[in-house]
Amino acid sequence: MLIEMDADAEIDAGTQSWHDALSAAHGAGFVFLDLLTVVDRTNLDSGELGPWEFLAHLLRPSDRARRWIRRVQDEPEIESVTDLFAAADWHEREIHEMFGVEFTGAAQSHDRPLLLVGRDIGGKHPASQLEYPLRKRTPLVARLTTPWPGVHEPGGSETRSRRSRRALRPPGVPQAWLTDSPERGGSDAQR
Amino acid sequence: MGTILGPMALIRRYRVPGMPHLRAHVADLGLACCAVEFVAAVSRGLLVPEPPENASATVEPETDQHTVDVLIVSGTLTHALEPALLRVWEGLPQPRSALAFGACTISGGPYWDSYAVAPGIDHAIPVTRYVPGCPPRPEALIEALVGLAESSVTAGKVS
Amino acid sequence: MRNVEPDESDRFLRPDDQVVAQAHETAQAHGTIILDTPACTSCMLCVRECPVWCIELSSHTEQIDEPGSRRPRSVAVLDTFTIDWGLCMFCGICVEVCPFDALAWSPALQPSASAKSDLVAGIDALSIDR
Repeated sequence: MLIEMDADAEIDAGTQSWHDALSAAHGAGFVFLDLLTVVDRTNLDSGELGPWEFLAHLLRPSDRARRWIRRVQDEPEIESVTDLFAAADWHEREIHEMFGVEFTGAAQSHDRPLLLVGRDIGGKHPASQLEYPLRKRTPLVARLTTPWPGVHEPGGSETRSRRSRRALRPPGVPQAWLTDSPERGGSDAQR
Repeated sequence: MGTILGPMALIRRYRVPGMPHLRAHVADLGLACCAVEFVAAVSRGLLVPEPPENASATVEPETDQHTVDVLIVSGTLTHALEPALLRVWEGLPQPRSALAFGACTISGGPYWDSYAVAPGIDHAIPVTRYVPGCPPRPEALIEALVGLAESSVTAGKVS
Repeated sequence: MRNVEPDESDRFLRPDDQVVAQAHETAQAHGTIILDTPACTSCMLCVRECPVWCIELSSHTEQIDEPGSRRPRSVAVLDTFTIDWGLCMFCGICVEVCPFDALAWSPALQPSASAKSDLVAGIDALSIDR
């Protein structure tokens, strides 16, 4: 049986605060939190962190209406909405762990370990060992350190890009991961 | 089906018809793809669940000297799950073997580059047999158990 | 949300016998992957498209004199070709992307091994006619 869904209404919070925007939706009957997430909109060429696009998907049980709330901002810091939606606690902990975003005003600390663990068996909390893995600037180490078999050209020589003598990059490895300095990683983790 | 509570809850026990000296402990690490092939193997009678009366809370250390306990691991091993897998392995009596079923358990498979995935279960436990596939067919499981049994005989573990 | 009346697109939600029978037929055809070595031109497409980087290929260049031609032709000659079955997802992208049909599906079972290194297959193992 096919079920047709009404189109989601998308609301951009704009200058309104995140908490105010979600509080208004909650007041309008959208009391079910389906998803709370963030998109790292970092432009890898600019060398700066962010902006950050926060997204909440809410449902109104009475008529099954759905609404996306969206807020784009430069700071990786935003209000917690656990006072409105208890379920937000899990989502905010995951966002904090994976992106290093701080949520202010939460009833409980988001530093409680959730999904990641240290690489050693029985290791410490990930924030001390991993650099927020889902940030766009965090390199996927395996792709940087594993020799890419595709670097060879037919006939044996190594591939060079036409304009320079630099070797071709493997798929999934942006230039920023290769040219950023090692110090950048440390300052990111401490933010 | 012989499920046990606690850290050993990861595993279920099976016998292989025609191979009475093998006792298979299956650790499903949560992904459905390889688990589907296991279900197919069981539904075709290639694996038979251990009778309930034999599935006690612990595996007896004084087991039949001819029995080889095989830990069949399928699914993706995340770093978070490594301690649990190690506990399961150490809870098995000797002689024991581990069988890596599918690409994830051999090398991390499609998730070879993930920050959260172990590049193969042999980073946590010793592996005797590697079964390629994504996922391997049920027939591949039987081929691997036969290969494992034959190499056990050759190594003098089972008479 | 509102419920719509079932229409003919619903047939895709319930596999009929013919669809199921076809699935069983084709499933057995995708056992493992084999290499037709003479057809390979070392173009590197399979190596670069493989999602898990499990194919490795090395080649060198040779000059071939063409009768009636002023200068020799440059060709790539295949030296080594390996597939690491421990990484392979059996997705078939390499088979699809090869412009020369040098890679193909075979219904045979890829056997297990006691060591990870034994799962790396070279030209001899991959060229076996199954």
